[in-house]
Amino acid sequence: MTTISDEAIVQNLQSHNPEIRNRTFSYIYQANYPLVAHFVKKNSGTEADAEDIFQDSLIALYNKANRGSLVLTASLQTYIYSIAKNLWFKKLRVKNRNVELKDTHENLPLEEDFFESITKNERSELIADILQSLGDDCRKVLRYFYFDRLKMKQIMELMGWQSEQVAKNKKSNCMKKLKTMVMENPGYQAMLK
Amino acid sequence: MDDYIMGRLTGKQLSDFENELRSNTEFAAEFELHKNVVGGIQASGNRELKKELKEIHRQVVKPSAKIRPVWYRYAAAASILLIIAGVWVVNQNKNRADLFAEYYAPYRISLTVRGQANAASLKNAEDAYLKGDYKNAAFLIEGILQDEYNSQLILAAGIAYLEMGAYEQAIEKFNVLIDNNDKFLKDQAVWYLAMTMLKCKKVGEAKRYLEILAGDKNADKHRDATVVLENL
Repeated sequence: MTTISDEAIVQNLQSHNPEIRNRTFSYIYQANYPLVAHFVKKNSGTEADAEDIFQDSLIALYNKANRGSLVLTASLQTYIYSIAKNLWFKKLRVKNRNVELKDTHENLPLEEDFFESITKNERSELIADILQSLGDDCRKVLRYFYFDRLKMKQIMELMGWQSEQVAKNKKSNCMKKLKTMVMENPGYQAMLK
Repeated sequence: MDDYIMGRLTGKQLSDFENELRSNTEFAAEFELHKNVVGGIQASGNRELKKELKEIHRQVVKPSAKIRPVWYRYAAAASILLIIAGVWVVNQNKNRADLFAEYYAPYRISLTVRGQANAASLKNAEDAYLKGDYKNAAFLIEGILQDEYNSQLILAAGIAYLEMGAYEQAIEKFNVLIDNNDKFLKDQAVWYLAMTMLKCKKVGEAKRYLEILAGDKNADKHRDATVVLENL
């Protein structure tokens, strides 16, 4: 496997071409999964735990990169390891275990905002469920805009639309539709009380 | 509201927005809903990405180590012999390396066409290539080639591999253009294939390809090929 620079990897993650993103994740996976799996298993986790933690780490990394707030001050590998370590630590603490982790790689302290995007809450999960009943195009546009943080022009290209204005209109219509669905949802209403 | 959520407001815009949130309860309620819905879209995106990563896991992480067949060992022994032979040949052919240096230059690609569906991806690939970041260029180009046939990209990928010293992959790319009898870039592919052979010290093969170009007066690179041939 040839090595690609960390800088290029972060840049590729922000590509709006799904094929490139996929290949980049695949690359990151091959280069870093063994390290994280080794760490989790050394610290009383299973292979399944390792897979789960590693994937959540990549999601956190992806979200951070898309917000343009990922500034690498160490190697990407050290970042991934540090995120995974944090996540595993949190998971063990929930299980109420005595948490003392054996490090298998150098790590760095991370700010809490690294984990905000993947912290689950009931309300968001409910709305994510509601989102599933929205049409295909709407789901895609909203994902591209709010999750992948793509620009309108890129969304236009991906969807094969003729102008940015079409993309903009579509996005705001879809958002309106979703908001109505959310407001009419009894589960959501109950949460507001 | 989106600009606020995405942290794009600063200075007066930001303070105005926050003032409005404090003083206007209707606006605040509207914003609350907007923020929650964006949170839901985020959660849904996380789920989808997780699914994609699970699929990658399935492809990338092998449950057990591969068992290598016996011929593998013979192949390994044979490749060592090849390396020894190669070293001997290299010493014989110092001047051929100079020939490569003198005549080889990466093809100047121009990929971006306005309005094309994947213009942004092409731009990234082109930038990496022109900047000489061949590793990333090859990586990006392979991503695009999954979706489409683009002869310039295939040539660029071949050259990127050649620059990286991944000769086998380079040869494979050039051969794609030659096998497809590419209307515009076949001659270029033959030329770069000859250059690759020269770089690999396979002078016989290099000559064979150069002769194709030298024998066709209308071929691209006809002159260069003729001169290199004379010097070999």
